[in-house]
Amino acid sequence: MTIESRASSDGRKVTIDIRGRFDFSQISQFRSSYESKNKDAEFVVDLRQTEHIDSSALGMLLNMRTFLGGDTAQISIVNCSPGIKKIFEISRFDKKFSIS
Amino acid sequence: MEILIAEDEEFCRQLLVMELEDFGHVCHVAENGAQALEIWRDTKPDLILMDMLMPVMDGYTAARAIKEEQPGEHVPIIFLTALSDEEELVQSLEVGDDFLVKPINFNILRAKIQAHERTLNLNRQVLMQNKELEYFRSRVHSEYDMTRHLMEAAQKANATDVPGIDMHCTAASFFSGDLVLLQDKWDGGAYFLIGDFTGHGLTASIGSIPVTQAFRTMSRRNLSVGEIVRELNQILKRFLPGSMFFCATVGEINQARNRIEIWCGGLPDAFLIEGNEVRRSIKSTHMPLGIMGDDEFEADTEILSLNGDNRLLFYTDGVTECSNADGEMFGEEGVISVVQHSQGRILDAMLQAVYEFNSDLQDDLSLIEITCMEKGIAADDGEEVDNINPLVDIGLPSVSLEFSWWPTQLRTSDPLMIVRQWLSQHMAIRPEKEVVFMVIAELFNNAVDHGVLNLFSDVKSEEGGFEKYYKNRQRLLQDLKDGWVRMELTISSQLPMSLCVEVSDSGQGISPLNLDLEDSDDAFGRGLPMVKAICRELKFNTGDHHVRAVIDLNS
Repeated sequence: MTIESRASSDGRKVTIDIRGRFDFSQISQFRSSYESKNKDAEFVVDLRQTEHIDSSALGMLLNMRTFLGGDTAQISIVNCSPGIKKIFEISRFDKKFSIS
Repeated sequence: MEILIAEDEEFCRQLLVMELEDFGHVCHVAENGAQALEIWRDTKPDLILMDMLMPVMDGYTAARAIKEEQPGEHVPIIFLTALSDEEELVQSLEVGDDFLVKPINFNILRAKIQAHERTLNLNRQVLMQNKELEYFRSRVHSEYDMTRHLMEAAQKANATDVPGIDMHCTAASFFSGDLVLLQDKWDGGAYFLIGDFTGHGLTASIGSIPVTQAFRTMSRRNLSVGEIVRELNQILKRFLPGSMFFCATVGEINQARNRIEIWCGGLPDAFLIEGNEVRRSIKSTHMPLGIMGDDEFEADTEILSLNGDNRLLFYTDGVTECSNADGEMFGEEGVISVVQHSQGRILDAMLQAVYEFNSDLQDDLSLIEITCMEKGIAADDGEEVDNINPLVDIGLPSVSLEFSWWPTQLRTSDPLMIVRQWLSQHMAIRPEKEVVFMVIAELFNNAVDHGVLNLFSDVKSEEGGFEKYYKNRQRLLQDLKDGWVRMELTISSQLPMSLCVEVSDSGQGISPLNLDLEDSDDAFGRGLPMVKAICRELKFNTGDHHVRAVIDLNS
């Protein structure tokens, strides 16, 4: 499993771990990692084990945000490596997501 | 036994020798005290029969000299005396061990020798056991020294100057069963561990070696708290005897100190504090480490949001279970009271309060305090500035490599894997490899999708179009009969280091319409504009279906 998601016992926090590639090959896996969860939960996308991402990963994150309610969605992207952080900054994702 | 007989009267001496040899003893003889001293030095007999009155040196003086020369070792001396003066007999016992009044009654002499033989044997046994004990003690001591060295070396790498995180660990004995570990992350976040092995002393502390090593390795690999505790549990389950386990809390806090992820197994409640009030207690929800098998083990963690006024306090039961002379315990109430009344660091106030409660510490005692106001410090670019120049000095050669993909290779699940593997070996690429990988992936996919497969992105804007697009792509790739993509990578040997990526394909090649990044919510159309934003140079040549991009490295 390259994408794993787990909810806290009260269902209010969902953590999604992404290992290795985060690109279009993961589309359906990534989508099902959040679709089945409580929409109002706080979502954390943990990229500590992510080795590479591309623009389709950005698209997938935006789709997730839209699905979870757009501006009201609570999504933070955590444990980004310096390179991945730079990609988010260039794409101005830091305005739409909390990135650390 | 070997017996030394010191007697100046020859008849009496002969008689004694005869009698004692009859009993099976070996005899040495001396005619006066001085001679007795010399013979004693040479032969070291087991027992001495010493006449009181002798020429040259009397028995009393000789006996004292012998006792002084051999302190610690018991040499029974029986005085033979014709004296019947009570005071002198008493005086003889100050130096000697017994006396026998002349004329000698040989039955009594034999009995006395037997009695002294028993004492002597007992004495020698004690002496030997003492020697063994002494040897054992020094061996244990040197083993302790060695173990302590190992533990100290194992824990040396503990980070101590992580902003906003203070820790303390006091051992009740030479070795501590408590363990506090801290490891800062390159991004300014930090991992911590606080724990308490069952028991105290050496046996309890020995478990800290594998825990410390594993914690270090895993935190350097940037693993999640859940993965770390699962591994620690497996190690301890294997390592510890059945009766032993490790109560611990393991956590990871981010650089901004507004998010903490923790796993708590068996320690007393930790506290989330705001100002001087306990906002909530963080309860242990798991069994301690080292008990459950991997299939039963629960690694789920708790995530808390924090603000700048928060502090967190973690501690071992050495704090709450510290009891005073009246048998009262410091207790959770004690901890809360200190939190409410402390000024400055809670940690200092807590230690002071515990020592005032009971200065004679019975248990190991550890605390961690996290002050959220103090943010972590990321290992920033300052370091990299120093690294810009050495590349020219060590004379790295320029490198170029060309990759070609035909339909068979294009159909594989990750055609770029080999490119990434090759590039991540290069020291100039490594620091921001994800950025480089993204540029390569965008240019490659652009060539595959729009060049070789002739796909249009329009479909992505439809409902569910994103997935439709990639399904379609997959189908076209499966059916692809011919077509190719070529990529040439060149890393320069001059400053500033750069990577040139040239991609060409067999297809039509489309010139992208808009290369400016827009702040839209569209899930697509971001790839090439991002490449443009990253690269120093980006040039499309639609005529020969060729694109060239130059990325500055070490930027």
